[in-house]
Amino acid sequence: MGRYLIRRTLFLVLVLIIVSFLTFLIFYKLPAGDAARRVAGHRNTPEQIAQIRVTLGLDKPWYVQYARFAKGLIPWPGFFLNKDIYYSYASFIPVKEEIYQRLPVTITLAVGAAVLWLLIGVPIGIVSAIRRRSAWDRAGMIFALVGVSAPVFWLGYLFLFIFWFKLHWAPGSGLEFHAGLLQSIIQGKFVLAWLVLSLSFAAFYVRMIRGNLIETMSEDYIRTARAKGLSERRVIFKHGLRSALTPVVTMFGMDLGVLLGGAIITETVFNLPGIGQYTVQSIFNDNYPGVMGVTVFATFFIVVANLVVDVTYAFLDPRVRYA
Amino acid sequence: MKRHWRYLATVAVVAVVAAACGGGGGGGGPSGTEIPSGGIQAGGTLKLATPADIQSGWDPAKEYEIIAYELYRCCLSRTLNSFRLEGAPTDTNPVPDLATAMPEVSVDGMTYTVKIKPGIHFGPPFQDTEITADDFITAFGRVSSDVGSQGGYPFYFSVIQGFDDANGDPAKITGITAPDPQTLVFKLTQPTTDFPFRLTLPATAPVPAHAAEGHIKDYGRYLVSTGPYMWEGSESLDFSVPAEQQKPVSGYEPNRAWIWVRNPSWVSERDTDPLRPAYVDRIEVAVGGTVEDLANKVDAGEIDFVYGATPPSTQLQKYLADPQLTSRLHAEPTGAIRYITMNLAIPPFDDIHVRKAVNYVVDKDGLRRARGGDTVGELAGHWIPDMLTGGLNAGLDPYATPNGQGDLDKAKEEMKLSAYDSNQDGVCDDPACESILTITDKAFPYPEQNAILTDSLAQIGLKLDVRMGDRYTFMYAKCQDPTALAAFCPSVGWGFDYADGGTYGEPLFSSVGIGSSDYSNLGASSKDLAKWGYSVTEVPSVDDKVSACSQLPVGQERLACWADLDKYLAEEVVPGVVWLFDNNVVITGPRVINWTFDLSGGIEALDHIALAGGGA
Amino acid sequence: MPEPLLEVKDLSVHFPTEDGLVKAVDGVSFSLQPGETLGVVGESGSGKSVTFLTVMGLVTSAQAVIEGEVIFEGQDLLKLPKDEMRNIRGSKISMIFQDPMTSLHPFYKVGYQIAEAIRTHQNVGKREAHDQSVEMLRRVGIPKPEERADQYPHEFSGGMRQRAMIAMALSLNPDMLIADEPTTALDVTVQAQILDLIDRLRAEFNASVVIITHDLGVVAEHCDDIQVMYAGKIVEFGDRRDIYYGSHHPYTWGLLRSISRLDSASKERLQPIKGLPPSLIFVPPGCAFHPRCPYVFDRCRTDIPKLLPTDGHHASACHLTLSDKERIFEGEVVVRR
Repeated sequence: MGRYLIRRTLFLVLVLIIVSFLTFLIFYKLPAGDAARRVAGHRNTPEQIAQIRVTLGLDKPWYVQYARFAKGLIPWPGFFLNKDIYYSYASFIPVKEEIYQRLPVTITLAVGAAVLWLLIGVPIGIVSAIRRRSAWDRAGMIFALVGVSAPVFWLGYLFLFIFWFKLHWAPGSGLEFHAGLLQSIIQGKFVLAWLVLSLSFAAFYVRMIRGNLIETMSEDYIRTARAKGLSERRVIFKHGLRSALTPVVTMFGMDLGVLLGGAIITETVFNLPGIGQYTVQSIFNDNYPGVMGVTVFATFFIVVANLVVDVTYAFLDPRVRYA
Repeated sequence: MKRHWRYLATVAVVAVVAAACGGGGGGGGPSGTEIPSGGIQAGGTLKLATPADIQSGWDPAKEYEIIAYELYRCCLSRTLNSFRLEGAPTDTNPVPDLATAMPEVSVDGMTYTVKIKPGIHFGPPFQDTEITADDFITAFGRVSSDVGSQGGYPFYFSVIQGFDDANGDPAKITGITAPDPQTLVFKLTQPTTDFPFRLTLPATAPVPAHAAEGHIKDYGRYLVSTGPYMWEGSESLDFSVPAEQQKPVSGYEPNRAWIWVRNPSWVSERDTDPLRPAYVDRIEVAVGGTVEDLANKVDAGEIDFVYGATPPSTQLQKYLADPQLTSRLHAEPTGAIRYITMNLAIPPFDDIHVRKAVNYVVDKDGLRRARGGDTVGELAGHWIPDMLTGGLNAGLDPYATPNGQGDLDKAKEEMKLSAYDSNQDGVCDDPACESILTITDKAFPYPEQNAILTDSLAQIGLKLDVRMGDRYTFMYAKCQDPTALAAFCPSVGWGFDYADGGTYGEPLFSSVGIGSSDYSNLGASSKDLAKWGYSVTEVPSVDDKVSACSQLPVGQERLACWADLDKYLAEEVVPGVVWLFDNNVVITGPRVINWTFDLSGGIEALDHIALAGGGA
Repeated sequence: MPEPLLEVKDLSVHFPTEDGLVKAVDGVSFSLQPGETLGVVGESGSGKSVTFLTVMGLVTSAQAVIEGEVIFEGQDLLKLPKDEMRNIRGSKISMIFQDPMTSLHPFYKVGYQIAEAIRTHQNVGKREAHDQSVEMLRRVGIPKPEERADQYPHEFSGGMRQRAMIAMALSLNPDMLIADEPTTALDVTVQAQILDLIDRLRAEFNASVVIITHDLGVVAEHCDDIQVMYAGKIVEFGDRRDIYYGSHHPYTWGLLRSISRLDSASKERLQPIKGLPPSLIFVPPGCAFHPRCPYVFDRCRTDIPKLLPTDGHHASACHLTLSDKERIFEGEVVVRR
């Protein structure tokens, strides 16, 4: 297992480098945005633009530029997103600082939604599987269909309109200034966002758990468990779910990993200052280091999540062993 | 808008009375709860929101957006000169602010001497430091740095001797000296009659020497105020430790919030500032959110208004339709124009009759509708906005058409007079009209506008070959570059940097602006035209007129000169089609009273706006 | 005659499906004595598994229409409430299944799964249940049982897994063990070991054993009585000697003929039974076997033959006369001694 972990860690670094290089290429080659012009503003003489390019280091050849950025990708203190290279072109704030500042909000959003979608999706999935073709099952499947189909931005605005604007049950978008994260949570600022974000995942998990559990319950070892005289509850939960949920754990790890890189649409709709919103802002402002920074960050989370999930799977399924 | 000025007059009286009675009577805390007669109660927190953060970190040497300029003027940064909003000004000429009077100009026009008001102190943590001439020199030093300033500022101060070579070292700007702490002397490289305007720019606001050290990139988060308000938490700024260890001010959370509170130094010295009443105690701006979401918050009463964004059309319609709500919808000119340029060196636009015909045929109302409807602005008939010419050309519209929707008959009449209509049927039949290279932005609302223009011009035989692309890398690049041979550039806009006609005249209409903002190549020499590959050898020029106006000192004469140039351009030169004077549109919540618009900035004035009942 | 341990009276199990009513078990009656080994032989679809799944209560009236009686130690299991049936299942009657790899939960240790069975029916602590399961593993002949109890099913070989299943089934000292195709998924060499093990344990634990199989060869040495099932009915019942040395049903003859033997001439071909097993929805009228029977005559097509004793213990359900049956057996179905 030790050697496996080392291999995977090296792989992580390799993936980070490849992803960063591709991101860099995209920004370097595609003419759609030009940071120097953006910074120059509306009184942009060619001389000013050239001057700004020098200041930002955009005049150097591509490999020199990439080398500067690549140094900041090594996940080591002192290197990672080092603030002399990765700073917002417009406001000169180090990208690392901006990301770290926003990370707690994204983590709160992701974890809260994850807990919620498990709380919603797992029971409904189980009930649907056990009471197949009953009214419960049909209701569960309709919920799943709606949740999977409804786009987050539509659902988000709908919820804001109903629960904040009309009913005044929930606070509106955004967080209060100077309010700590805990305070904001207590104020209920995340509730609608959690709900909206979790619904689409919950729906997906309902379908997956239902399918897995139905399949699992027809396995031979379920018959054995019943033949042993176990209560049906024990058969379902200790024998059925134990197998049915194992692939769900994998799925969950990946979903959470992706979300930690920023729930872009949810954060934009609810004006939550997380990494997703930062990504959108950076893209619109041609803030190339910002985009690089979040891309690398998100990649990091996903690859680590992948690793954690694989290792967890080895613990859950004793048949899996890593050399 | 007339209503405004009467209101403002009342406010002016009130403000004077308040200034006389208030003074330092507020005691220790800057709560400003004196109740002036006239009904405007000071106090309260103005709750605003804006969709996107500022571009350059609130560093006055870098910012160029209207919302930033206005914030410096109203609230954070007093400058040598500023602008008066009371007294029903119809022009935007500067008045002294930190200076005792307008500068003394030498006979040759190259030396400006300014006296600084004594006894005015910086805001915390420099509340014990008096503002002196050196602090202005520090500011100019920052602006001269390559890294420290972006956005077009250095351009204006190149006229100061030694500025271009200083690169951040104030000592190297030989053109600014301080014979005594209360006196500044500027030596220029050439006569620059609008220099008083340049002293209103936020970049020239005084900066305490130690505050800026080490903050060449991020001074905005350590900004020391000289205005009625300051960043919340300014008193906790600690400039005694090295710059890397300093903590930025808490009132500015990038991408989240801007919070300003009263500057106690200003409160105790407020009689030195007759320009700013500063009613509210606190201004909070929440950054982020979509325009629709913020509009909902205004409707729900959670914020007072949105700063720096136009309300969505659904909200506009609601407020326009309901007579009870219309009073809360404000639309005033920002001083920006939307226009179309024609390249004077490319047929058929080298013929003035064709250009006039185009002016007659364009459906300006349609273009405005595509942009969002009547509220987005007034249809324009002349080039320089009225506030820059003292309103002398108000209503001027040489090519007026019914409802601004175009007049095909008049257009055809004009076409017949041109050299490109051989059979005199009012429609161009020359091959030059077959494929006119049109370079545009691809974002909203330009595609729809392109369709409108294509249809309009086709009626007189001009066929547009429309190319759409990214505004910065495509449109600007091609329209700016005379060798790109772009004939027609319709997605263009322009606004002033400070409220002087010269900020229109020179960049847009003189040969100095070729290659940057003069897309029509007005004023190009025959040699250059040949060098760039044009077959047309001569284009009109207004360089002499621009130059003449530029040399006039600030005042009525200068205003009239710009007005004349404007008229001349509109009637005799016709370098393009100007079709809109942009509006700043804001919907306010019920708490907001004393709505005041700053003509010199083109946006609402937060130092004049108040809350009903003092925000109770 | 001592009281039978299990008495099944006229049991029928019909599954309603979209295509029709599947008559999986159709009027089956038999009894099992204490300490006896019963072999139940038949093809897939003969109803042999469903019968005993119903006895165990694993096929319930929620899934099928069940009629008849299943009397076990004096109680009709079909009428028992679910909780009481669960108490019996696993502790009084145990069942093991065909494929031990899929029949054991892959994520739990073998020792745990056995201990789970024990703790379901007995009030013992984890430690003690674990010790008991180790002991059971030892008794079924698994070497180093303490280590093995901490391993997972995939770490066992096929034969060992089946031993572990048996250990689990016997851990509560049941009165009856049902083994559904216990050797089908195992190597031939291992098959004999498992069957011997079952024999030994039956004596040790004093349990009755039912071995369900499709292979007559398997039950030859290990069963006291054998019942042959076809299309949901019992077509022949008898002891070992009856079936192998004097069976009275054409289906049984067909089964005997299709056993391969080491001592048969290599050129002698196996003789499979002609035709296919019948649909359980549209069961052929009369004798269900008649479409495939080489000895069919008119009466077979109309009258359902009853399971009738020919002498004492031995019974068969066939319209042929006794003398015909004996003649045909001696002549065509020869099993060398």
